[in-house]
Amino acid sequence: MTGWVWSADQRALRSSVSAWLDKACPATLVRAREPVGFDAGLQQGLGERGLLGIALSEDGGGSGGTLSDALVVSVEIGRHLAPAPYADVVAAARLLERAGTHPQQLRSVLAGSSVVTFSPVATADRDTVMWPSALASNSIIVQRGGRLVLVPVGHSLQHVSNLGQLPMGQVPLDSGIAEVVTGLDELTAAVANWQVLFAGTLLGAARAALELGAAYARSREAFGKVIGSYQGISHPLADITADLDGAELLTAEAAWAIDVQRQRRAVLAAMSLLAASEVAERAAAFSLHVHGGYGFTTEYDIQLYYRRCKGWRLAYVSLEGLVHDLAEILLDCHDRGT
Amino acid sequence: MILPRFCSIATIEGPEMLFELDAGRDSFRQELREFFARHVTSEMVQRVRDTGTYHDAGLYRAVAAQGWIGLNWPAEEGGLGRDALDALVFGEEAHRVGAPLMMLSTTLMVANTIRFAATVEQRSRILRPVLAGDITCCLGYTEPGCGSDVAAAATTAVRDGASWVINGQKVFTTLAHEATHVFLLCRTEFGGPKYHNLTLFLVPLDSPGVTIDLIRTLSGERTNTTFYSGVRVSDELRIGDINGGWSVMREALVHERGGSLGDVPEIVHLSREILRSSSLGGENSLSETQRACVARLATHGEISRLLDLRVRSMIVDGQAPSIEGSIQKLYASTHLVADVSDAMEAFGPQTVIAEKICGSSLSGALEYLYRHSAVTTIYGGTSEIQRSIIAERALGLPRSR
Repeated sequence: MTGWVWSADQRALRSSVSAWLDKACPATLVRAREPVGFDAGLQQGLGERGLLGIALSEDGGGSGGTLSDALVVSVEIGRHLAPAPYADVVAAARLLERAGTHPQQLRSVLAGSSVVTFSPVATADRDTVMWPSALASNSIIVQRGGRLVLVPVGHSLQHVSNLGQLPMGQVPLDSGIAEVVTGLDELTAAVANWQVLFAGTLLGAARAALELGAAYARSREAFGKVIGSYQGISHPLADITADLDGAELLTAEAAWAIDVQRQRRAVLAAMSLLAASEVAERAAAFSLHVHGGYGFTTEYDIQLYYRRCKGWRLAYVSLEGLVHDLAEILLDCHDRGT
Repeated sequence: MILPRFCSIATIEGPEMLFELDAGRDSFRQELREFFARHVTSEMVQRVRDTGTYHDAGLYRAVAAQGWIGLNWPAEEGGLGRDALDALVFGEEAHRVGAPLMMLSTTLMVANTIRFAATVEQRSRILRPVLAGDITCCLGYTEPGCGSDVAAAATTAVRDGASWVINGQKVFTTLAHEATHVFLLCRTEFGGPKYHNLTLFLVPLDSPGVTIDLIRTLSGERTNTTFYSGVRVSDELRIGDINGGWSVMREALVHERGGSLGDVPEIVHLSREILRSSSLGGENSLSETQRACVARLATHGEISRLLDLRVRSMIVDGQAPSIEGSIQKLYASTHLVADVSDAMEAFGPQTVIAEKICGSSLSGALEYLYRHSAVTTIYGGTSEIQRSIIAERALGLPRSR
């Protein structure tokens, strides 16, 4: 039982993506790709299966699905800790589709053979940016001079080691080769797309972390009983379960609101990332705690989740920043009567 | 990675549901709004506040006259055949004006139990006056010695011919001083296996031997302790099998969620109120802490609204929400308690003021909620009980109680 609200088709999609990633992205692959955290083969596989273009129109080279469909995929990406910046790529692809300025580039992205990423990491007035998915990217889309521009990423970028094992690197922004994609009026929608898909990724990871903790609590014994019998273990897990269902429901609503163009969609997208961020961190941290000493070893998988449930998200945005921006949108919408 | 699977339950997603109420319910909302504007006076609201009794006999009769007691019952049972989402609309409109309708909640909890557990003859004899507003019910489960441990009830019922004789005491029998009947859980077998020695009775509160003493609470709400000294009740008012009370109760506790269909999570209202008040002074007048409060409260309020909608969608779909009801109650109450406290700190000393005063947009609102929120993690199943239910049914963890 989860908070996701999928249609029958989406359940089938989830099943097939999950089955593929079970084989294509086992824990051994996740570990093997550390510390850079990107697997080009996986990216290719996503392209081949049409999963990168799932939320793009057929004219744009996609399969004409919805953001909710892409959300299904992002949840499985997170669940498997797949080393592929799905949210960043799909958000960039949707931007490129809207702009219509780089059709060839977009085709190559959808095929999985080149990578363009977008994220809300702030870049204004700076000549470099610490980009979380830099070493996975051929180009990045950033805010420059009042527009959204495409900046190429050099081949010899140095990896910056980080908590979440992301392909992070410092990208120079003033090489002069930036091409205009579109105006800043597209920024809000792009940010909302990214927030929802990234929330989905975090929630997939959170649910997996919770399942690992619950499984351990069902089997590990102490003082003559399985440790899940103790309320000090079971009750926090129950709290996390409730918060997780809630965050999943909210994220499903946010994707829906973007798909049907509800006025509240920007508010819901920001809320979903806030809720997902908080529960993912708690789920992984408490689940590691439930594992006791073993949870602290690298051999056990839970530490993979612990790193990423904090380090993936904080590389892009702080809770304080999220909360501040959400309050701004809320008060702005309220004043405008929306 | 191959992840552990608890069982197939873990992979079942939520029900098909709408995230918003459809426009088709707008005319019903309008009808309710006009009704409540006519019937709920400021004098009534003040009297409710002063007495702590969230019930008004005149209002209740007017609701009954509209057929709204049977709002969710099918037409063949004398109801209006409206669904759990219409009940949400009803609850929202009632809350808007502070309509005191707790009697409707408790009566429906009992009546919905009777609808599935009672005999055909009992249903026809009891439910018609319920629909007419002539029978009203309060709940008699909790005792001084047992709340969460419902099955430990010590109030006894001993068979005597065509009647039973009841002795004991119930506590938090809210609205016993106004209702016509109490739904009483009694021990009818002594020493026998647990869960097979309880029986439920619908006891008229005007029976000789019933005493009602008032209890005042922190929120100002009035409840009662009720004593039963040699109270005789006809076997015709026994609901369900002799010693079969536990399984009836289990179903009744699910319907407790259904009976509270008219209740909207308080945190949803709070989040809207904080947003409204915050925007009065203009966005730039707010501190970072106040903004954070607005943002978090809005998020928790929206999640509470969705968790409640999920429960209702399942009921509309003919499913019985169990884990989902526990999750909704646990989430909404936990966050209400924390967020009320945080909001008070964020908006400062004005929030301890118990009445509305000029120049202070948040006086009067939060002070009451701080007192009231303390009970939300206790009634209707404590947070600990909800966590245990979730741990057992959603996570497959062993029983700890």
